Amino acid sequence: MTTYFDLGRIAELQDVMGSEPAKIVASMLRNMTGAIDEVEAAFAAGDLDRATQAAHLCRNDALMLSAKPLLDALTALEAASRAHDELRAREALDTLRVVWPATRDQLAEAGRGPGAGHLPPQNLQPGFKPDRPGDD
Amino acid sequence: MESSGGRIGPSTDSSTSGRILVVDDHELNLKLLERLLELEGHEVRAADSLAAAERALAEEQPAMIVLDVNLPDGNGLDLTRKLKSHPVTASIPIVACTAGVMPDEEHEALEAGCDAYVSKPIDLSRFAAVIASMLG
Repeated sequence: MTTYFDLGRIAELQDVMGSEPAKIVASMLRNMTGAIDEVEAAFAAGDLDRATQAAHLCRNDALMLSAKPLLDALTALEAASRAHDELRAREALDTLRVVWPATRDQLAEAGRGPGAGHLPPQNLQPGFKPDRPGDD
Repeated sequence: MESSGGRIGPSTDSSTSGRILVVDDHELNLKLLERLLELEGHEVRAADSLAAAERALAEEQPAMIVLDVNLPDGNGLDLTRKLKSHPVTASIPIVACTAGVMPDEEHEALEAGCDAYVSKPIDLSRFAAVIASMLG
């Protein structure tokens, strides 16, 4: 378990899907970045139904990763948006704006590491820099 | 997008397939479910929307449906009610599979006519057990 998600979930997905961890991570990052951008655009347009759908889509990835802080923010946002409670939805959006960049950065870092899907969790704590060719 | 009031079920009763229809708008979830079912020896047809699911149902009757509830073009439970009220499709087992935020979603799914409910993230062994029991 990292601070923001469970790396073991990527290994589980790799076992079932046979994809490289980096590809799984890249796919999740692409999905989540698109969904969060859509959440922001929906709020800018004042469209809570659109925000609900985008938050729900992103929750799928957060659930797959057991990314609890992100999941909690998205769950609160989806529930509030679904209920058309804009005040609570915007509070949840504020939390999301803090949690998402940290989750994204840690996930991106995990995806860059060689054999990232099998790295022991302690290697993915904040500040960890995976070895890369040419880094020395 | 197809109308939700469109024809449900194959045009002839000879088009029953042994395939499992998986409906999910989340690409990675769809791939994961497909792969899990294939690993269990099932043939799978994938649909990423209600409209695509209705097209698939119009062509052939699946052995089972694994259905996401929250889809961008509608609610999977509406499709469930329609299928369960139609004599040709009423006997198709439907497993609701969702990342819902509402606490009573399982109850709603079963009340709509779903035969089982699986929450996301997918517990791999439980999912396989549910599928086996439905097809048993």
